[in-house]
Amino acid sequence: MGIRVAMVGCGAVGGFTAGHMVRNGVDVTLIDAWPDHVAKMNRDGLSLRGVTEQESFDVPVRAIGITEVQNLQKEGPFDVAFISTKSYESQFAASLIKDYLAPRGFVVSLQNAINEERIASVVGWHRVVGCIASSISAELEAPAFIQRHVPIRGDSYTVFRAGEAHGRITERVELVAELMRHTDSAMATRDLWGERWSKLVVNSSHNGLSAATGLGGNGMATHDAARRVQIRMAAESIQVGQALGHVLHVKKGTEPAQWIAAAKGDAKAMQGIEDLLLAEVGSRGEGQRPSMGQDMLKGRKTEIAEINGHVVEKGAEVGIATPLNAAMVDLVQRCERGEIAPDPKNIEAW
Amino acid sequence: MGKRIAIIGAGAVGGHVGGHMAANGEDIVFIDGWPEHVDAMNRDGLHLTGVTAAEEITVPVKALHMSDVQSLSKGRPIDIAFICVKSYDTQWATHLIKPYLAPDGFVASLQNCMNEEFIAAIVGWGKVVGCIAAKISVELRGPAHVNRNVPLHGNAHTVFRAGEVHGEDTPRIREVARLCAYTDSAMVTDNLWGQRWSKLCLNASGNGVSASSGLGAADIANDPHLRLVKIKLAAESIRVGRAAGFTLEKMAGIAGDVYEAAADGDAAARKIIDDAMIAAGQKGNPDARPSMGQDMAKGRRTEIDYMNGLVVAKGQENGIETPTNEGLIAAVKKVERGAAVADAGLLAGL
Repeated sequence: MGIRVAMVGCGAVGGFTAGHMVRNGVDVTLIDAWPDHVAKMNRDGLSLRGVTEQESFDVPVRAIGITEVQNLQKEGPFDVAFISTKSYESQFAASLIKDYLAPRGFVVSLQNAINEERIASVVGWHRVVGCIASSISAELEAPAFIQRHVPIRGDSYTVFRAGEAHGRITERVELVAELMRHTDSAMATRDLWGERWSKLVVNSSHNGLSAATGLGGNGMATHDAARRVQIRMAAESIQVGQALGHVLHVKKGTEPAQWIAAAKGDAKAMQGIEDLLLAEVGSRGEGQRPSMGQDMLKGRKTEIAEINGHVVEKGAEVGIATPLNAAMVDLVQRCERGEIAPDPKNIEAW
Repeated sequence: MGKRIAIIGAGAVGGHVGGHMAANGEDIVFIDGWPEHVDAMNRDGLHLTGVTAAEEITVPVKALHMSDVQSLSKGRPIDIAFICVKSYDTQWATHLIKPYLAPDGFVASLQNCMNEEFIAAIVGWGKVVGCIAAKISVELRGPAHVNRNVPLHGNAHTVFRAGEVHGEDTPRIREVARLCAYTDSAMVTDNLWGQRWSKLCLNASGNGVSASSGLGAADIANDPHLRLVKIKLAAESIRVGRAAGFTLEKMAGIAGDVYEAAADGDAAARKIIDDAMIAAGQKGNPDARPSMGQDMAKGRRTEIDYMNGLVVAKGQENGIETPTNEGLIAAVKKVERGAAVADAGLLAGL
């Protein structure tokens, strides 16, 4: 294909997709801040594991650390730079790679949350594309070792959705989708914002909650207070998203209006959604917990400011009150600093 | 409780200055992208050497890899963040530390060139101060080892000049000067911009000439054409600085007017500067090379875009032509990319 690709941030999603691209002959430079990870990738290659033998392989890659980035100016510039860092490192990553982009090169946010605006503040809107990785369920378990916990989805479910901020289908989003297809199913979407915000609704409803309570997916569904807090937080996020003009897709079998009604005290609407959440318990492993719950267990900084904080910030812009999201930001940050321990009691009075 | 200080970029200047702060009991955390350097600092302490045995110290310090910066979210926030990276790394370094700044925390540019404006674009003008390190002559010799090549200047020459962008004398700028005074003489300046630009004029006229010609100080001083190129570079830079409204200081003891007159063909002015350059070339180490020459020798990216590039950019903003600076940038970049070998001939047409 003759294009040069950079992957900035080679954790679960970045490392997994970069490894698949390299295996299929794409020229990818992997950039990461974790010294042991970079050293091991260069020495032994990147080990990717899926749920079946066919999905598991080792691939030699070229990885560089942060200090080596300045040497990139001696090489040809990048046509595509994926950013796959944590959200709070988006501007850092965009600034890091900006000088090494080709004149028509662009940056793809392959991240959680909604970081296109943050990246655009560094490189300009004309150079930003978004790509959602939905239900990829990969994890960086050790240096140069990434495990995917779910089978390849293929035609049954489209994992990657690449889109322009303006929604037109362009050659470059088709290119991004093609690059992602080396990993799993991918498409170009006309509605990046709606997809991003729909995903944010889900993440804002349970991700911080898991971090603040210590509960996993099943625990949050079966704990009465936690279950209802999820629904009420989602309703806040839905209202903000709609006020911003996004078309939202919520849990199968529900409409956005039902969530808003439930949060406003409509008992029947609430019961309907609660039944759906409870029905999911059987289909999920006991150990499953959203990314922020994992971050808290590992002692890492969470994306609370970019997920629930984003809902609060955008809510203020459009005049929608988001008290639960605001309280969640505060609560998770207190847990992060070690001032209080994650516990379901933290939200029982909400 | 004392201030919590982060040093982003523990290279020659950052390591040297931060090491002296740590040795005097200040609460310092170093952040650096070179893995071996960080590991050695944590394991063995930071080893500082100078021209006399009395200046040699080894200080136990705390240093973070880039991937561990996120752990700062757990501790007290950073009150003062010294940015000591190369100029082209300024923006990402600022983005990296921004989330961990205290509400009244601020960023101090302890760098070459003039990067306050780039930092302000990220954290706001209210959170930026500058600090010049003049004639400090330090060098990162290897992991955790910084050597200073010149004796302490003390009262003979004030090494550090810390200034607010508005020039007022504030408690926080005094704090910056106090912290730098552990290393060598320091003062608060009310003319940060003028001092920065004066130093930039000096660097813009010398650094790139050395890097693109491959010559040391003595050979450059003895070459009439290279002396003229230096005069033209200085005169353009001085004109731009004046147009931008900066109060400039004498350069190498000679007023800016003399450089401008010499560049315009005034023989008397030309003789004054020629004599001074030749005299300076006979003093000191004949092979001494400024930082850009060192970068080139190490195969690192140079700061040319932020040095002569800034002269050109500010010239455009203020309607001043800078053809010599543009020509020099082209020559340096050729050598940087490996498209030409460093040679005085590259500057023949300037």
